[in-house]
Amino acid sequence: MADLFLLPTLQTLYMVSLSTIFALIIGFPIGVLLYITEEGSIWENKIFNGILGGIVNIFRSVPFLILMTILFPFTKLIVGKRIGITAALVPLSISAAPFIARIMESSMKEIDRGVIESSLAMGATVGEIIKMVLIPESLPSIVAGITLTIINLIGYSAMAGAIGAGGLGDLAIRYGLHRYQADVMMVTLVIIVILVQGVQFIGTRLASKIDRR
Amino acid sequence: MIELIGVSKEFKNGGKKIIAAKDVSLKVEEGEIYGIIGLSGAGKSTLIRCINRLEEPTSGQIIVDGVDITSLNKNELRESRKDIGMIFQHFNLLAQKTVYENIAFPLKLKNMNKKEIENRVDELLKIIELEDKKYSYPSQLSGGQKQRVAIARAIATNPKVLLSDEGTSALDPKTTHSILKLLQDIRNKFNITIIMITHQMEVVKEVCDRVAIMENGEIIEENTVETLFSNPRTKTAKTFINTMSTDIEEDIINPGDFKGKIYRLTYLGDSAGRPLISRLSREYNIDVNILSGNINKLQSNNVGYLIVELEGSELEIQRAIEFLNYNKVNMEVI
Repeated sequence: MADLFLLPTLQTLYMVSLSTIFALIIGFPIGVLLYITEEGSIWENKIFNGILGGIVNIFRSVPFLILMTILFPFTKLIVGKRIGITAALVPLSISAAPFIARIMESSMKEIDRGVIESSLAMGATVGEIIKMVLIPESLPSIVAGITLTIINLIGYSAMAGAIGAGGLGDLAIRYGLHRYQADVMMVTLVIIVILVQGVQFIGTRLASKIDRR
Repeated sequence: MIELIGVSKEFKNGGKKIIAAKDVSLKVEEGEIYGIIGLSGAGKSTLIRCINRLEEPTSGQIIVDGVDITSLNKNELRESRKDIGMIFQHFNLLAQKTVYENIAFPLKLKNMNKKEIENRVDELLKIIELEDKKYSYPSQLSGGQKQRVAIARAIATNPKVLLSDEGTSALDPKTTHSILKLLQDIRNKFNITIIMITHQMEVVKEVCDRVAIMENGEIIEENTVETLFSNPRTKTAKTFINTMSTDIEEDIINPGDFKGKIYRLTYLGDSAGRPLISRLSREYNIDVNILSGNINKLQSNNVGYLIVELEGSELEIQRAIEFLNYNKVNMEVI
């Protein structure tokens, strides 16, 4: 019985962890760009900000299942196939990236404008401000936001599983839904709940531990 | 050291033009503590922020240590800002960094190596007397301690100029006093030129050498603090001085209630040492009735105020006034 759950759990962890990393790689710089190009910010560029913000919003408004199907050709181009746990990384990362970008942006907005101004007064460049002020000062908020993203991705990965990507979602649908095995369904749910609770617990603890305010 | 020539700053607010600074010219000498005082909205904050171009002046020229700040390009400006320290009303420290890291910030921007930074920060911690708070976070410090850290950060790179944008406005009177003392020590030790803007006459009185009074974006009066206190020219200046000396309430002294004439005497510290009033009544045939009095301790000198009623013949009073004027006492009929 345990074997039945081990592989799907590992598959879910694989999808969630890697897509979180990819989403961060894509979303982090976008979030920083969104923040610094805002009106009155350190690299103000209203047109660029408007376009980038628009693209981010478009990606955020497409429901995950639809995004996944739209991305099929793109996924095939990158991974070589459309379905499977590795193929699922593409839509998962792309759906989480704009979310991460907005989290970065709003975390940085929490920083007191005066702190950024004093860095400018000390002669810091835009790059130095990003590295030495924006990221470290908003880190606790960013950690809390990443926690939220991971939890979202656990849910999305289950949806990806529904169309054959593997993982816990796939297990729940094949056994629970198609074969009416309520016990398998329940255990799957419990594992997912434990994952979510665990991630939330660690994320909250970490965020408050590093916050010096 | 610092010269502003015809500096103006206009904002556009929804099609409406707001003039925050209007053709301001002033000159601050090396090692001077120069105050700019005004009510909120007078444009003083905008003006001081023009000096390091946190605010771009609309027109005019700003010269700091022989360099025309207004003509610099972005990179040059950034470099010159490293030689202009600045402190703020709300301290603006990095909340997630220790005192050490906060003070090290401008040194890192100068690409100093770790050892040099450590030595310099330790030196600065000594100056601000917070050696024991090296690894504390700003949230663990009091307001006064935070401003001390901000001062250390502002002078870390040995700038020639320090700008204070309402640096003591968020502090209680006792803490304000200690911060002003620190700024004065720093000036005396490092001959740094300080421009501070404030709305508190107490601040000007305590540390400034010279002061400019700003109203509606313009400097309406500029003088040494001594002269300003002993002989204010504008109504705003008088109001500022009166907000401090609560003992002297000219409004409640109604000259009609008295038989003699009411005078306001203002005198500087050196006249205060002599028994002018007793000589006045002894040598001239008049009666002197003291209604109110106060002494303001200035950075350089003391200024005394007396409101007196003089009774006697016109001639005697005239002679008495001449005697007082001769002794450098300023007289004003109320």
